[in-house]
Amino acid sequence: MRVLAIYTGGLPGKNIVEQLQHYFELQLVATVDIHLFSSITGGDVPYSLSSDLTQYIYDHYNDYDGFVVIHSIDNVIYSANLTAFQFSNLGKPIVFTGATLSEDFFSFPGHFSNTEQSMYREMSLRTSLVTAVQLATQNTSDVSITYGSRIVKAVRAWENFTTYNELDLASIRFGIEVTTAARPRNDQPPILRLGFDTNVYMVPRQPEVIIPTPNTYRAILMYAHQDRALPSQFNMPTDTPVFLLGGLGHQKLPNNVFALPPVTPVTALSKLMVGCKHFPTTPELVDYMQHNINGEGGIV
Amino acid sequence: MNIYLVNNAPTNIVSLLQHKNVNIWSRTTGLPSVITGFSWNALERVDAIILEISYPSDELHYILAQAIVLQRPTLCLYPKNREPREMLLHLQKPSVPKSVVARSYTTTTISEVIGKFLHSIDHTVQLDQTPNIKFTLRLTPAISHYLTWLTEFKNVNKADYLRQLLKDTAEKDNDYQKLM
Repeated sequence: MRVLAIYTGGLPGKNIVEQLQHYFELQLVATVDIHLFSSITGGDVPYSLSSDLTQYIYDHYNDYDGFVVIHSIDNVIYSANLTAFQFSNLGKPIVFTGATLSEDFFSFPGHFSNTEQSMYREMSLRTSLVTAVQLATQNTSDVSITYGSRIVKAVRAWENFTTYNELDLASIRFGIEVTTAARPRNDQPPILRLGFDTNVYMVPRQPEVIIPTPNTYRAILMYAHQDRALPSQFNMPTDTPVFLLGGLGHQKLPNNVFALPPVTPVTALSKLMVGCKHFPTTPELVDYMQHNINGEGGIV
Repeated sequence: MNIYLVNNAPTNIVSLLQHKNVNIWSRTTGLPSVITGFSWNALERVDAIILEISYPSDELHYILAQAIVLQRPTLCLYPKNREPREMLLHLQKPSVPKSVVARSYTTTTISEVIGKFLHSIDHTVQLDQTPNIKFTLRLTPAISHYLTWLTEFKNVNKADYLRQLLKDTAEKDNDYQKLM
C-alpha cells in the first residue's frame, strides 16, 4: 500500500523531511512518501490551511491508498473538521496526527532540559506515526485524528480526543482494530466542496447573551452547555439564520431559528462555514445543516 | 515478568512461556483487565515482547514498529526452515535498536532460545536445565584414565560428573556470580 504523509507543522528542527524519512524507514505496512506542505506552529494554524490541504489531497487522491497529515496538536480539531466537510463521499482515510505535546507544553523554566523536551516530543510523534500509517492502510474512509493511543473521527472529536456520542473510530489493543463506527473504503471519486465562509458568528447560549450587529453575519451558531431555553429578551436577528446546538426543551422557535441534531460545536461550526460558502439560500443551508450532520451518511 | 506475545504460527509458544512462569499478554490469552478501557498503549506496560515473524499480520507489523520506536526488549522468532527474508532484511537496518533481536528456532531449540532471551532481561528466570548442547571434549590418555576410574569409583557416568563439576565451579566463582 502507498501512503502520502503531509507535514504541516508541529516539529522543531530544520531537516524535517530527512527526520521523517528516518522514521518511516521502519514501517513495514506501507510505502510512505513525504511532502513538506508548510511549517506552522499550532496556535498560528489558519482556517485556510485546511482548504490548501484538501486541494492537495484531492490532486493526489488516485496515487495513494491513504493520507497522513502531520499537524501540530493545537487547532488540529478545526483543521480536520474543515477538511472533512470539504470532502464529500470520501473513499480513503485521511489521518491527522503529530506529537502529543504542544510546542509550549514544556515551557516551565528549569523543569525539562531541551534534550528532554526534544526526546519526549520525538517519541510521541513516532508512536503516533506508527499508528497513523497503519490506520491509513485499514478499511476506513474517515477523516480521523490520532494522538497517542486514541483514534477518533474528526467529526466526533471531543475534548482530549475522546469521541462524542459514538464509538472511537478504532482502538489499539492488539494492533489497530477499527470499530463498527468506521465507514468502509469505496471506489467512488470524492466530491470536492472547496472553500468556506468565515462570516459566521459563534456564541454560547448563556444568560444575558448579546450578539453585536446580528444582521451582518451570513449565519449564527449558538451552542449550549446545558439544556436551556433562549432568553426572552434576546436580540434575535431578523434576517440571518440562527442554528441552535444543544437541548431546547419544547420552546417554539422563531422562523429564522433552526435546531441542529447533537454534534460538537467545532463540527457544527466547520459544517456551517462550508455550507455558507456553497449554499447561497437559507433553505438550502438549513437542509445541508439539518441532515447527515456529521457527514457520516455518505454524500453531504 | 509481563510478556506481550504475537504468534500466528502453529508453534505453541504460550505453553513454553507458561513453563517459564511469566505473565502472557496476547490475542489468545487476553490483556489484563486493568488495560481494557484505558487509552494507553499496552506495550508501555510489558517487560518484553516476543513475536513469531514467519506469519505476518497487521498486528505483528504494528507491534514490531512500536517496539522499535519504544526500544522495548523484543525477540523476533522464526523457524529455521521458514525464513522471512524481507522481515529479516528490515531488522538488519542500522536504525533498528539493539533491543530488537531475531533468532531462528527448531522444535528442539525453541525453549532454549526463549529461555536465553528471558534470562537476558531477568536473571531470576532460570535457563533451561536440559543438557542439550553438544560439546566435543578431547582428553589426554592420563586424564581419560583418571576420569574412568573416578566415575566407576563414584558410580556416576562421565558426562554427569563433568556437568556437576562445572556447575559447582560456576556457583563458587564470585566473578561469574557478579556478572549474573
